[in-house]
Amino acid sequence: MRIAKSSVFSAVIIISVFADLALIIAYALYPSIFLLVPTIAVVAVGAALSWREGKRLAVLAENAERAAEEADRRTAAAEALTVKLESVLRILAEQDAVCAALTDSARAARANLPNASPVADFLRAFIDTYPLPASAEIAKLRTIGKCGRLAEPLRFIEMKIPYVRELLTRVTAHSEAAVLLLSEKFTSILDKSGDTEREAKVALGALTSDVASERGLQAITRQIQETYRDGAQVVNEFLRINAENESRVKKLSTLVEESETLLHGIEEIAEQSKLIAFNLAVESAKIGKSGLGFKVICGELQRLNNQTLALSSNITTIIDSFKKNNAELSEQWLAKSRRLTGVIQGDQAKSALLEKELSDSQRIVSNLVSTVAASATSINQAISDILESMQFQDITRQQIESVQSFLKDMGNELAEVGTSLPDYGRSADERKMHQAIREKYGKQVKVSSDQEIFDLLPRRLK
Amino acid sequence: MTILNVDDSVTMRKIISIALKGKGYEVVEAENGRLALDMLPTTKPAAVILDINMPVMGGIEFLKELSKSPSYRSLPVIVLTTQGEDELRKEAMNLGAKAFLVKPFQKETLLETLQKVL
Repeated sequence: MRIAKSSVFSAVIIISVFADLALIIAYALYPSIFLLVPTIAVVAVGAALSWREGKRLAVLAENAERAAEEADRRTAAAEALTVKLESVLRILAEQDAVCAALTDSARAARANLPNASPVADFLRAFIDTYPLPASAEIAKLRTIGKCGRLAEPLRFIEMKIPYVRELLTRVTAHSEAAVLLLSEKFTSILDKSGDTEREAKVALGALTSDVASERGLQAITRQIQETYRDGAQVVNEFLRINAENESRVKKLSTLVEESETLLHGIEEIAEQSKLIAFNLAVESAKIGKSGLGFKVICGELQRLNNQTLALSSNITTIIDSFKKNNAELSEQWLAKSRRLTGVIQGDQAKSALLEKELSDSQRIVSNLVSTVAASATSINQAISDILESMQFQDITRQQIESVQSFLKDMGNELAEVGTSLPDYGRSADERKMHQAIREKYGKQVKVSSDQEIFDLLPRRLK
Repeated sequence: MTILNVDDSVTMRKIISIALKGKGYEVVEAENGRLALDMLPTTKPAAVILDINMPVMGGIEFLKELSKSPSYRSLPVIVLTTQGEDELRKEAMNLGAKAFLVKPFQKETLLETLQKVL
């Protein structure tokens, strides 16, 4: 209740005057001269006293008015502080949720990192240093109440904000460095995989070229197979001719034997003719002159027989020689022929095996190269997908920048709220709070001195 | 064929470069709109891939500057940004952008869009 100073003063004066008038009227009604002067004196004293009291009351009223104004001001400040505190608590809760989500994402990503990789080890160590401690402070604030001991916890939270902002900056920087390192490694693998894919496709093309093409392995294999088949035909022809020759040799031996038989027959005939010629000579001698013709004929016959026998003897000699040579030759030739046939047949078997193995190898190599080409294509696609997924680092970076801006605004709001509290930033434990924060969060942010943290604080708090 | 890749993120520039170089494009990079404008006369790109949120000069401002230049007014620009709001899309297209893609992008989509605008 506000009471105007002048109103109080006026009221006192008015009451005093009315009291004095009342006395005077009372005295007038009951005149008694010997009471007038003391009455007037009393009235005067009363008026003086009233005047002084009035002044004192006016001063009191003024003080009361000032106190009331002050109380109103403090009440309004407290109400404003309450509203701001509620918004700060809400912002802190949102920040806590965002930071918790970031922590969960980072920890989920950590679980999917490969085991044996220096880059993955670095990321794991980094993720393990994630802080994000706002919940305990928020709980403390909620239990404290709307007025009273807020300065210290508010100041504590405000001092932590630069650490969190700095940590978020380092999250962005470190994650960007890690992603760049990974992308360079994957790019290198992608290049090599691309080369492998191209070479595999070229090799596959060479393997599966058209039959008419001279460069295709299939064509070459087919040519080799045809060559082997042609060679086999030649060999078979050779073997057939060889077998025919063998039978001819045998037949020749048979003919030689038959010739010998004929010669024996001729010799027998010649011997018989000789005998006949002798008998004719004897008969011609008996006949006398008439038998002279017979004698000539006998002589000729005998000469013929002698020639025949001589010829037969020569032929026999030749045949014997031929037979001997033929036997030796045919024996050698047959032995060599049989050896060669054995070798050729062995080679044929090997060639057939080689042809089969060549055909199988060509099929295996074709399948292998197809598999390599397909694998290279799959690897390329997988690496491309991984590189695309690294876009999320940039998206996360932008979200972190939003959080940093958000924290900066929150820091400013806390500072604004805090300075309306009389003991804000003047706690005897200010230095201890600072030290506690540095010990708890300084390692994660890797701040090495108070000066660095001092530099991080908003200017108005320095 | 040269493509100018404008993005303040090193990671995004790397990813886009890998995608484009894989298809035989030459890629030059700028980390903000101001640098990109300075590079236009020397690099003579056939198209620009442009982010929106960048320091110094953002994508919208770059498009405005480009639209004022008779030499580069018709240069094909593909906007590639995390912000997919319709208002931003309309603003970019009104300023002359030929396409508007939202991150994260698919490599095939970017390459097809680039082929369409060239």
